[in-house]
Amino acid sequence: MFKSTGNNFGGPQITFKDYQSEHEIVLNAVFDYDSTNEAYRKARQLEIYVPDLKFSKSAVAGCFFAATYEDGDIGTTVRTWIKNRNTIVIEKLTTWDNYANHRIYICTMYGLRGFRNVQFEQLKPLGISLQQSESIGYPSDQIYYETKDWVFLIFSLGEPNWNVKGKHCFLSSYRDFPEDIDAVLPYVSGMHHNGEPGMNILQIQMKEGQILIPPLPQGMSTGTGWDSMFYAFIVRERDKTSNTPGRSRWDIEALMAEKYSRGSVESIEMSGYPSMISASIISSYYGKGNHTYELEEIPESMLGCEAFLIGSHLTGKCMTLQLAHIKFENLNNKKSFTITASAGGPALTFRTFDTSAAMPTNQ
Amino acid sequence: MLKVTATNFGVNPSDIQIDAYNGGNFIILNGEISVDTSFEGYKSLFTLELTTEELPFTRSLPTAVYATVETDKGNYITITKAYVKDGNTISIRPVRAYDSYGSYKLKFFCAFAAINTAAEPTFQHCDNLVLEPTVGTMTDSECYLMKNDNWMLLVLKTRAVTFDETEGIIKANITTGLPDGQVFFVPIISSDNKSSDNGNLYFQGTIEDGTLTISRNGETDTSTGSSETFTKVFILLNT
Repeated sequence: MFKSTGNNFGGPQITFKDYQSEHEIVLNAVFDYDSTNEAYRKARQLEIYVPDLKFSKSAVAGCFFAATYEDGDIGTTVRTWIKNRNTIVIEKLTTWDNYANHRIYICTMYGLRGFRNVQFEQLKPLGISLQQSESIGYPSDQIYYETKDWVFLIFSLGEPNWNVKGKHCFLSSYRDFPEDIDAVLPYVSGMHHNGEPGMNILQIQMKEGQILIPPLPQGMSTGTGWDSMFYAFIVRERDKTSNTPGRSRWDIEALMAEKYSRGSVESIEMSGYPSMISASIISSYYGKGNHTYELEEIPESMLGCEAFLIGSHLTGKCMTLQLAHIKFENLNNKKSFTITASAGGPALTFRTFDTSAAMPTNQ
Repeated sequence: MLKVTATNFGVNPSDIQIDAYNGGNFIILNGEISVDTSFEGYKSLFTLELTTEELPFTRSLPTAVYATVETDKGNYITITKAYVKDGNTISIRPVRAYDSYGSYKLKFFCAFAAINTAAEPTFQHCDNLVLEPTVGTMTDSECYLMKNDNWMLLVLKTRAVTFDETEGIIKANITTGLPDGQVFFVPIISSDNKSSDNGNLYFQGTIEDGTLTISRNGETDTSTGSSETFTKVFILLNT
């Protein structure tokens, strides 16, 4: 996280959440400025001055612009880039200068400009299935990437349903979004009823593994066939506390990934005497009631224990329950992790986020 | 007793009775809280928060808290995620699927374990108990009990149960292990409907002096049984 040191458009000091590497910088910030002020009027482009960034020039990226309006904000996307190590530039758009207050949402990845011959690590998208506490629309185009430092999320809820007017809607997923995110973000939805160019830009929040869409604004037009859209790179505020000596934690993604079956363990961690074990597991292995994974990464300290956990099925709203059983063994010098659908359903199609007491195997 | 000093969802702390055992690196909670979904501000809460007096650690791993709701189609149960957020706050995710019912209950039969602690692999023995049905039937039942001085973990599952037609209950003796002189009420989860948006139907289980009784939910409940029943509960013991 860092704060801006100045700007050329009379804006406020801006707090950025950031992830910076040699080739990409992910920034999150939301700020308002007054389009009637003299500095803004004189500026050719909006420049934000910041402490040293990791690199000095980026390719052009995009961020969201909104003119705040009593019936609902109206806006579009604007260009943004890193001009030098201490300057972030945002395109100046005068279309809505008749509205005094402007808001910029930066939820952007800036890529280093002009680099060549760099080895890329190709990320794999993770499955999500958005659940809505109020039915705004039909979720589609759900794309989700997660790293330890940032996430990238795209989705649409189609054309918003006006039955949800005045209601708060929480979006969640069977794969919880990281709980180390607290971000204010834009949700683009529908044309504006006053007939001006641009779209409604609704301010939403991602926090505690959920996304809150507040009541849809009055000014959002309906029946236009314009689908809503969410698109953001979001910085994680990763816990950088160092591991306590003797910590027993297993962080691993895809245990198994086939076309229609996936098993993943987000994390399993064990605490001291008597050993408690907490497991965040997602398993979508249809057609099997148990499965053994042989994996070298399993921490030694977990070997020789088993535990029962309460989980929930991945179907519907993930409400129905499953008794799951996990077991860690070391047989013939092969470390293994076995997961079993113990009661509640016959298949490994559930998630857990439960803590239980670890018991010895083969007692 | 967990000393709750404030909540962010309209429940008066003096109305909250949650028993707690402090195990140092973990705490076990037993009790329930009623959530009024019409409370002003509830609709926009990301988490329900219990502000408490000092907890033994500043952050926990996630755990599952049961949530139950009464509907005209039956009593349903699901789980929701909870964790110790800081040294004075327990954070629980609201069950949005229950919002339209006006109220629901959070039932704590859970353990919160501290995150990022040293873990010596010390696994505690678990007894395998036998259930002998005396009223109604139970098929292929399994019961596991890990018992300490202050708490126990009970896991129960049966492949099928059948209620006695006249008494509307199932009764089973549990051979040895369970403490006498204390009555425990636990949810017995039925797995009839795996795609319900309300969760599972459940029955009240009562454990007293080595006997488990599973009861229908009042006179209107005509359940005959289900394909499977199960539960997993941490229970505090009188010491």
